[in-house]
Amino acid sequence: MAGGAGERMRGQGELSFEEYAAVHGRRLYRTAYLLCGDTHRAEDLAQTTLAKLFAHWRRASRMEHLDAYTRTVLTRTFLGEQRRRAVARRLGLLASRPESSPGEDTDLRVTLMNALAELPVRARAMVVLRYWEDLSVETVADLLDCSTGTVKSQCSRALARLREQLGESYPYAAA
Amino acid sequence: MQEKEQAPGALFVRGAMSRVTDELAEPVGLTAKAVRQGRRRRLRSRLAVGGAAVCTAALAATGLALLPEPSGGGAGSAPLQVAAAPTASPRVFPTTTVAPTASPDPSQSAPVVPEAERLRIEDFRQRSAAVLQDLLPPEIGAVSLLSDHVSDYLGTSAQGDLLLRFSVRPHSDAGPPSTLCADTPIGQEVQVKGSTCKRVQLTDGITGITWAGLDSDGRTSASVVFRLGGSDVGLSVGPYARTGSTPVSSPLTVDQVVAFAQQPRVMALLEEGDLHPVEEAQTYSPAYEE
Repeated sequence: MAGGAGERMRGQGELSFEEYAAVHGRRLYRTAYLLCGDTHRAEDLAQTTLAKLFAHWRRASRMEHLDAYTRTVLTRTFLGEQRRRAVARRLGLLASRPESSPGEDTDLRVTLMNALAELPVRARAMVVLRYWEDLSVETVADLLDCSTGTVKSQCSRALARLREQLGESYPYAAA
Repeated sequence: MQEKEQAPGALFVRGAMSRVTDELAEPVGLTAKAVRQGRRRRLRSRLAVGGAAVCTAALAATGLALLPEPSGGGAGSAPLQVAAAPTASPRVFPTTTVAPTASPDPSQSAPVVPEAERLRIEDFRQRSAAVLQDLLPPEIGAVSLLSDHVSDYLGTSAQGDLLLRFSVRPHSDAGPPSTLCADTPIGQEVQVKGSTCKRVQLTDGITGITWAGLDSDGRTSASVVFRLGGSDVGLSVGPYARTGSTPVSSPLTVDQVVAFAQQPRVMALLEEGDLHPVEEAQTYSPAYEE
């Protein structure tokens, strides 16, 4: 998505949903995993995002910035789901269960996902969008409906925390 | 062009994220699952739009029914309100709402059907309307769904309104005994009060009973009933005897209804209705026993 392959593909003729999903599905899944930290939920998030795209594909496929639109759908789907989960947890309807990880845990994954999990939901989304998706401060602020100052301060704080935690257990990464 | 965060901290976090997500296995069948879910979403939003149109039509019809008639006439007729058919493909058959002539009894209110179940039934009805429209002779006119019963459809022929029934419901032993024609040789007609029944061979393993009916006003109907799996199937074309409509005789013969039932597309839909019922089993009241 970050590479704007959707825009490139559309220059070569009519883009089918299947083509788009085949190219972007994996990236979408990876972003979803960083957002939620659970492989099953990440798959659901990626699937729901693509399903929403499919439902309006005729209109969506003509968008100038289709990749940006897809990211917006994913982020809002994630935040909406988080809100529902928070309510369900408060009402005692959601049992907490361990997050599922892709096979064998590595130190880096455990540390990174734990560090991300400690961030507030919106701060986590900011970090993922800013550093993983390479979005500008303005775009992230626009997407999350907050000021650029909030994005800068939250990202700066979160980054310091992540570096500190990752650096302690994974010195190679801090180099 | 978006700016790229090049601060060392950012690069380091990005690198860590990249390494962690590189380990993720490719989600299997993501696109196919998304397409399926997307189709459901699309259908749901279309039904929501269609439902809103039907509700608006029903409200308008109720309002009209409550207005005093200019001629000062007595009991109001029940006007038929046809919701506008959405023009988007795939085609969607409209629902004809029959306006109630009296306030509904709250104790008789319909049970709440879960959304997913309602959508499934609506989808089945749309496909049933499609086979009725496509595979019955054109004399039946334009087909629409009738709102008051899941198995009922309206045919608006040039001569008047027809009730088309496409019913597949779980077999009930509590139903009325259908002894007439049940044991007669195939093809032999039996006269019963002006109507004629006949046992017919529908497929290799299925026999049915056809009825060429005649009502008290001299209007005819054509139907076939048979067992399919664990279900009772009833397909019929007859006058739509409802106040405000113009009922007419069935323009189809029983043989034409049988030919319709034998179509593979019809059988496939009936088998689906047998495996995944959209109607409840018939409840039988002895008061209707002949």
